[in-house]
Amino acid sequence: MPGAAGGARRRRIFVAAKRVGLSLMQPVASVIIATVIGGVVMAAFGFDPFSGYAGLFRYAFLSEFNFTVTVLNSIPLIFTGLAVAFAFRCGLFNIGAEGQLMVGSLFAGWLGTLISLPMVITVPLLLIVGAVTGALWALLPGILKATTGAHEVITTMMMSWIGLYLTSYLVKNVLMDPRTTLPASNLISEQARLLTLNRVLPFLFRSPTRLHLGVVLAVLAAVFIWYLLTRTSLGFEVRAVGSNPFAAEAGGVSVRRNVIVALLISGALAGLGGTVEVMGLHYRVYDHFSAGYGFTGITVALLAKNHPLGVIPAALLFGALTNGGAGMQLKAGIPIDIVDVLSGVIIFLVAAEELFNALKRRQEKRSLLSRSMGGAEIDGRSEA
Amino acid sequence: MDIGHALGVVLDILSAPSTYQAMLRISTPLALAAIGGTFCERTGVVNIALEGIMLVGAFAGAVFSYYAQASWGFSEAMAPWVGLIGAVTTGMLFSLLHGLGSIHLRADQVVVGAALNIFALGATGFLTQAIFGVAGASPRVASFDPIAIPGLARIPFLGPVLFNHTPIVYMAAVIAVAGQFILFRTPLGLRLRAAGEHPKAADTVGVSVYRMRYIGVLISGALGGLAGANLSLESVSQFSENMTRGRGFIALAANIFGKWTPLGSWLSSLLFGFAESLKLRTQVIDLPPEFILMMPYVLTLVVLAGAMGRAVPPDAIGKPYSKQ
Repeated sequence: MPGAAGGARRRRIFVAAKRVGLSLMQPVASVIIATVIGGVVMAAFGFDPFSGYAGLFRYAFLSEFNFTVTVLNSIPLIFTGLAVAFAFRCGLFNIGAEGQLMVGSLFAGWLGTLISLPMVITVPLLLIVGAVTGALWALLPGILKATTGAHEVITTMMMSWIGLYLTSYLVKNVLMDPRTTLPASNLISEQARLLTLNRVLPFLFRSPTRLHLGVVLAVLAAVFIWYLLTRTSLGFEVRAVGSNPFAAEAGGVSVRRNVIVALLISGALAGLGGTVEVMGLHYRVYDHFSAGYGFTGITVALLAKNHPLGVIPAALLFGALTNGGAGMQLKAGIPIDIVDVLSGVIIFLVAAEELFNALKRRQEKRSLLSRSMGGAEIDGRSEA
Repeated sequence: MDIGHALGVVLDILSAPSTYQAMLRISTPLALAAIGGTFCERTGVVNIALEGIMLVGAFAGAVFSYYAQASWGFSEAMAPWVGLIGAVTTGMLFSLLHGLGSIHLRADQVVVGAALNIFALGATGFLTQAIFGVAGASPRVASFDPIAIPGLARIPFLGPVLFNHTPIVYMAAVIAVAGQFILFRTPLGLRLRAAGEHPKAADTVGVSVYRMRYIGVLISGALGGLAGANLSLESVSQFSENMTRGRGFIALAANIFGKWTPLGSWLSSLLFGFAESLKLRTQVIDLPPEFILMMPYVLTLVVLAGAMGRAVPPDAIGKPYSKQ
């Protein structure tokens, strides 16, 4: 019966759409509430929120140049967002993406200043070096978590600071370009650079752009991570450990192994983010070139609810905020710091799921209570 | 540089009172925030928001001191005390947000902490510009002068090292000892720790887990605010954007290195402060400053790797408590 089959399919699509819609609701609501709070704060200090947001929107999206800068900003954020999100799916909080990113980009950039093989070899080689060194920077936290149980929030954070100081030392003392006054390495060779998009797709751009192939790599990475998580056994194991390590272990999934693997992949993604930034945009490693990409990656992952494909729009939003913040300052004189205020409020609201779930949970609690009054006792005994 | 000369330089540094004075001075904000972190985490609430709390405290300290002198008619000597009270109060109010998210809303405590850090950075930057009209830093404000303890300050070596400091430096030492006593020798301390070790058991015997956790969070707010006041009213006499520069994270490290005890937090802060005081003389000892700055983090990793006895966090740390 074609009618019934069509109805079933329509119902399935409807259910899927409803699921997507529901999962989008909280992040979208958080952004809207943060926008309103931001506007109230602006008004309270005598700024005009409407011209502020208008400036933000104009500088973030209107005109080819502005939009490409927004996309450009979002490239490293897609990578760090994926890094944090992937670890999250394994129940791990990789708060040290910043250090992994700097370490990865440093070693990739270093190699880039040394070799000048053909592009088809150099580019992949550098990407691999960036990913591997970024991953290595997450290895120790992974091993410690798997052996001593040391919390990865602390260990990745400590490794991150060590990485930042190490790269800073290497840039200033080993890689330093003698011709510059800024602490920066030599330029990487021409063959090590990612092409700008107007050279690859000239018909899309009216003027030369700094937007580079890294954006394609970022989207590919997101799709790859989505595939890895949802369609492979590795992804299944990672998610199993993330949702319930005890059940996973009982089901024959090694928690230790997956914890280490997840942190390695997470570190590799962060390392790639920095590497792509060096290969596509700066062409050299600056000391502290990362404008907190690792930390913003946390925000991006949270806003995306740790969905690899959701990371892309979330990264675009924060790319637009940094870019548009400048417009706000120029057009309405509003301090650019308001962007951080907005980010903070957004993360807080996304984290405070309870706020949104209160109604739903109250209903569940009522039905649970009516089902069994002794449930709490049994629960208490099993936990003790 | 031959070995004899190098040894001489090291001995010079180690025997100079100024090295230890700098150690105490530099360790003060770390110690206060770390002890705050200890109290908070002992009740079961992870606090990576120390950085933000400290920053907010530093900002409020400068603002209150500024207005106390400029508009409220306080003398230059009294204004920093108003700043101090403002910093502590604002730190506590700010930490309430952490409590609200982590305790009542049962959100992921690390995430809430991360949110507050970003928020603090943005809010203090925004307000600096909105209030003072310039980006980056506040004007100079009235600040604390060192108080030499009569008599004691004249003891050779120990005098300048221990007894000629600004008020908050003294407070840190007192708070470390008092904190240790309160946490481990009083009923309140026992209740606080119970909320972090086994909230269900605490709840069963009538201890309000929520109240204990709020107390822990508020203590971290007060001490974090005080740490901030040390930065903007003692180290320098103004607020500048992001002036904490990661000290909140070093404090977190000190708390772990000190194995979640107030005295341990203080002693680790002294160690980290000592390392940083050496940084001031890196030209002399010929060691890149980056490697000295790394030290607190390396040491913390060593401790976490189990090389110095196990560092065991409170059992229920990071777990939101829900009564049913």
